[in-house]
Amino acid sequence: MERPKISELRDQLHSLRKQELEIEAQILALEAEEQSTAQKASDRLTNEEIRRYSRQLLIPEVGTEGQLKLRNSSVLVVGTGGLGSPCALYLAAMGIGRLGLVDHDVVDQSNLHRQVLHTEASCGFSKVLSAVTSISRLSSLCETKVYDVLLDSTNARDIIGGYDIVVDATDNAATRYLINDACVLSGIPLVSGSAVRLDGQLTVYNHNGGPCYRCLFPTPPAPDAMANCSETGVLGVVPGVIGCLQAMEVVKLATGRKVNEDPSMLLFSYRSQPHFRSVKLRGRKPTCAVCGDEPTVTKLIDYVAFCGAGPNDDAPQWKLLEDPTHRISCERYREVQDLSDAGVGGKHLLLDVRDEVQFTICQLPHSVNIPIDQFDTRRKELEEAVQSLDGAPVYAVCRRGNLSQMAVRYIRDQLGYEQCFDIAGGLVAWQREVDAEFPAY
Amino acid sequence: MVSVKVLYFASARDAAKNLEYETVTLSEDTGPRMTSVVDAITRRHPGLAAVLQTAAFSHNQVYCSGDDLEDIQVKDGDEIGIIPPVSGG
Repeated sequence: MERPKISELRDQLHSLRKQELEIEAQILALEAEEQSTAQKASDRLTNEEIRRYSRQLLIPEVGTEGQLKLRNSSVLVVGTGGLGSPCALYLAAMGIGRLGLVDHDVVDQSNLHRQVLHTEASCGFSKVLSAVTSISRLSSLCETKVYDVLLDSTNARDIIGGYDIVVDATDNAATRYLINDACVLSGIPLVSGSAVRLDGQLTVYNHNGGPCYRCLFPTPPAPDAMANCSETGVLGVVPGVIGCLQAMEVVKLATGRKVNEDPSMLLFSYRSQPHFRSVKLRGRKPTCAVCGDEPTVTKLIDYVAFCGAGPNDDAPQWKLLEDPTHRISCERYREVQDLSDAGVGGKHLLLDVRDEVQFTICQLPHSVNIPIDQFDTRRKELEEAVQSLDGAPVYAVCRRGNLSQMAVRYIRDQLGYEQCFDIAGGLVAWQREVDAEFPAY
Repeated sequence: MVSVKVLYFASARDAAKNLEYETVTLSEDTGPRMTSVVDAITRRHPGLAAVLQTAAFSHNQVYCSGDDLEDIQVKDGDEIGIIPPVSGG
């Protein structure tokens, strides 16, 4: 028999992995039709459970009693991304009996460096399907239920209400306040984690007289000040560290150990020594809007309005340049580029105003990089570059067409150079509309 | 003179020239408050102003809110943390 080629075997594996996802989807659809057959609380471990969790049973802090408590606990993980991936995996692995997963997103390649539940094969599939596929591979003992919905004020209390513990593994402020309020109103402890760039935070809220998220952060961050992973990046392992610690806090809550601890907030940073610091928290704040003595929030509110930003980590689309003639489309800039390349006019300066890190990832040919936040310090250089154009146009470009509008304003208003335009939509639009081969990040 | 150590977390660190911490010396001889510290660091790093609006704080590893700053007296050698909320994940 002829030996199969490695590449053929790899292709075969890839298609089997896709098939696995499709079978899981069929199971989910059938389960959704059936009446929920929630496992009954049990007071003894099966032989299979004893074998499987033996290394954990040996720990006095868990033991048989603790393992049974994990087995009889239900946990809702909101978000199956960088935080939710390791958290849900460890919860399933450690023997949490019932796990709910909420996510409304689809797996994208740019998720894979940190969202370890998801795989190359699951790109394009829903995150909850991808998550449940990975979890069912790991454990058939963990009963999972998925919610392929965007958590909002209309559904949050219904979904959260069925669980003992909630894990906030989301990526935006609006959903954080929503989950907090829903947990306070339902009396459910909340294990909150967050991570961006190189830093993370971990706190258990609404437990044993301790504070809620609003007690600590009564004012939501301004949308522009709010850093998110899609804009500012995140080191893969950073949400991994926090997500694992969230799973650990769930174990403490489920086994009843957490009541012996004073409330605290854990701060983690890749760039600090030591990496971890802890801040003692006080109890519930009597003046808190939701958990205080005279709460003003007595039902779920409009969190998008409260935070001034939507329930996602998408970049805002600014519209700073009111005059549409101060902007040109990507298609139009391509024509300028063609003329310039052919040497028949089209003289211009292409000014890339992203920071150096982003400029190094990819750039359009002949672009000059002066980051927007260096305009003041490099003003002389900028002025010389503009003046040497003899009236030829400056085209400012950035990643999404936001900073480039600020640059156009600066050059028009501060330098008084009128021939300055923004490439609308930036390099993201360029990749989408003009050059599919241009790298997307 | 009262010198305190200020720790910058997450986006506060980015706004403070990537400093993990720095020493801030206050000129007041008697009873400087946390507000004096916050004023001093905002003068040093104007970019912090936006971060401070929604940040939490710590005084000797104990949480305090922006509303408490006026009431908390700082002593020589105290440690103050600037803790903006991290929202991502």
